[in-house]
Amino acid sequence: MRTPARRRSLVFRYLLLYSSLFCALVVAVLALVYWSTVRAHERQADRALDAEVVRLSGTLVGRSETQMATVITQSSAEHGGRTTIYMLATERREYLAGNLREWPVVREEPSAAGSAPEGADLQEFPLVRRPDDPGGPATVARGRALALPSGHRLLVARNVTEVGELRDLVTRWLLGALAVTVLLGIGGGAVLSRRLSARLASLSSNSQAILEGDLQRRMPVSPRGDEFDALAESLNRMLDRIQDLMDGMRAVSESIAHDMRSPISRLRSRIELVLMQRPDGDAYREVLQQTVHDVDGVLGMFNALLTIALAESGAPRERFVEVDLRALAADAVETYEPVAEERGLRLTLDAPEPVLVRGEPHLLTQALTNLLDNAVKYVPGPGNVVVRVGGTAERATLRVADDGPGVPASFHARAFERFARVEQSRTTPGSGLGLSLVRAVARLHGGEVTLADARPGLVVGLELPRT
Amino acid sequence: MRVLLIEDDREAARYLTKGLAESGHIVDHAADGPRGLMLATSESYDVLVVDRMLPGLDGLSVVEALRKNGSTVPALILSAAGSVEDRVAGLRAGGDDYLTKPFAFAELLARLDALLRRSQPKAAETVLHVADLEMNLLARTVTRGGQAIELKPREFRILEYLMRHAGHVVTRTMLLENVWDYNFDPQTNVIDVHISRLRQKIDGAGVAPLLQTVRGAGYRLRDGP
Repeated sequence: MRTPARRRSLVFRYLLLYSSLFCALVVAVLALVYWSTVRAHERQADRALDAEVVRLSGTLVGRSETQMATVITQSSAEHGGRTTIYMLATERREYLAGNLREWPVVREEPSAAGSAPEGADLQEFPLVRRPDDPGGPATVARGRALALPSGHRLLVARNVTEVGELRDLVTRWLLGALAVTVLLGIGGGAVLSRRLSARLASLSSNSQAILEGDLQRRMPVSPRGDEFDALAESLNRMLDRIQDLMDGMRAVSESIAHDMRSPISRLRSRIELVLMQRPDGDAYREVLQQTVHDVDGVLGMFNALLTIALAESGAPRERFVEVDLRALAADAVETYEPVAEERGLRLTLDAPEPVLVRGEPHLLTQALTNLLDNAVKYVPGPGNVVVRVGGTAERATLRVADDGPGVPASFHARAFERFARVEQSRTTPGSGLGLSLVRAVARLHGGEVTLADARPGLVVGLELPRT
Repeated sequence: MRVLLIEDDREAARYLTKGLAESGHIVDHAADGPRGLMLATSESYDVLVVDRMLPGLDGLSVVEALRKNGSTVPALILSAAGSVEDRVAGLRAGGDDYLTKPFAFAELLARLDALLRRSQPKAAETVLHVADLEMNLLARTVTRGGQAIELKPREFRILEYLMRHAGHVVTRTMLLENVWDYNFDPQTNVIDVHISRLRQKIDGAGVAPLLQTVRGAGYRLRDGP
């Protein structure tokens, strides 16, 4: 089967979307890691440095130059070393004390005694050379330069060259991790998408094969039982159902062809026979009249088949109106009562109250007359046929019960199939379509029709949903 | 009677023309809608027989156009489609009757007869008379030769229909459509049984029978001696 263009593939689009989302998430997580390690460490050092600035600026207030130099020398000796830088300078930025010899290019802030300058961040500035390694590479310091009230200049800073290196290292690792993540995301996604696409393509190619006429083919189902297997199983069930319906249709077409062929071939032989005789007006007339009668029978079968097809199409639902089943039953009973009486049957109606349903009155009437037709045709007199109409709030029921011989239980299931007839009744007139039509009409109304043994006799029950 | 037949199926037109002519009608034939409409407007006919499916202009449109022009000539629509809604559409378009193919020729004749009678409207009647049979539509009573006859509601309606078409053939299908409102043929011949009961009641012993069976067609209520 044809695979859709890459950019139109749903799987590819989902993969792209989820890879992007995944990468964005990883970037966010890494940024958080970076922030909470490198930056947090820096901020902690910044706060310690500010505390030192506060301490020193407080201590130096009101001291002589020599005393200030002593304090700075002491601090430098105690806290200085590789990382913390102290320098006390004159107003002209000449070295007085500390572990830095030359005043760097730096912005100076005025100092109030005992407090760090408000609001200003620490600044980063280059040092010409490291205090303990005059020949080393240029380094970066981070700290504050203060103009003391006495005019002296104080510099407290931290050598951040190594911190910068650490930061670079962490950044490189994080970027590396990000790259691996993206590669894994895209690579894994590609593998996943290929597998999903392959399974979809398999469903698609099987459907195509079925479409092209391989009607026995079914979707492959793996033993994993995942969503695709569930889908494939539903599709297979659907295909089986369609197959059943098609088999049913084929059976019906064959029955129609078969059942129509017998009366038509009978007609043919009769006409042929009369043609072989010597021309005789009366004989011709009789045969032609019989022929018209038989053709009417065939046409009646076609009409019944068309009505069944109409009911099964569901189209009459658009014409549904409120119908009183009791009124329909009363009408049909009144119509059939003389026929029943003629055959020694007592046909009565037992319907205490109106029973309203939504339906198509003509089709319901036709279904009802079919039931009564069957009763007067197959129940030998003397006997009784009772039509009962009733039901609950949800279901309306119409039952036609007789006390005749009934039909064999083995026939109950087949009775509603087209052209189904009890074997011994093949000789009595009837198309074998009456109950099929009743069932089609019942189903059109969302109901069902059933046969039951009344011991003795037969009960045909029509159940319809109430309005 | 002058009949205009608008039918495009040649075989059907030939058979209908022949049959109608043999029954004493004068038949003009048009093979498509526009020609049929032209003939119907330019000539004067007693009844139209219009096939529903026609080339050029379909049968319903022909009848609709005629009705818009104020023509009241009765029209019988022939169609292969026999469902309830097809029928309703046909009558709504202005057709006076609707007959589903295939049909018995006797059926067509009986219906044309009924249409021709309908085209001579009578004042609303409350009492119908046929021979010595009298039906009071208000009191819902029937007498024959002054003798009261008890009829069931359905028998009353059958007799009313027969009396309104007295002297003319009424087919079983016409009775099913007009008395029962059935648009299908019940397998059992219920009509015959109802008619025979009605006959027992109105044609008792010692009186001239009025209700006749017309072989291969239907029934007729004799209105003459």
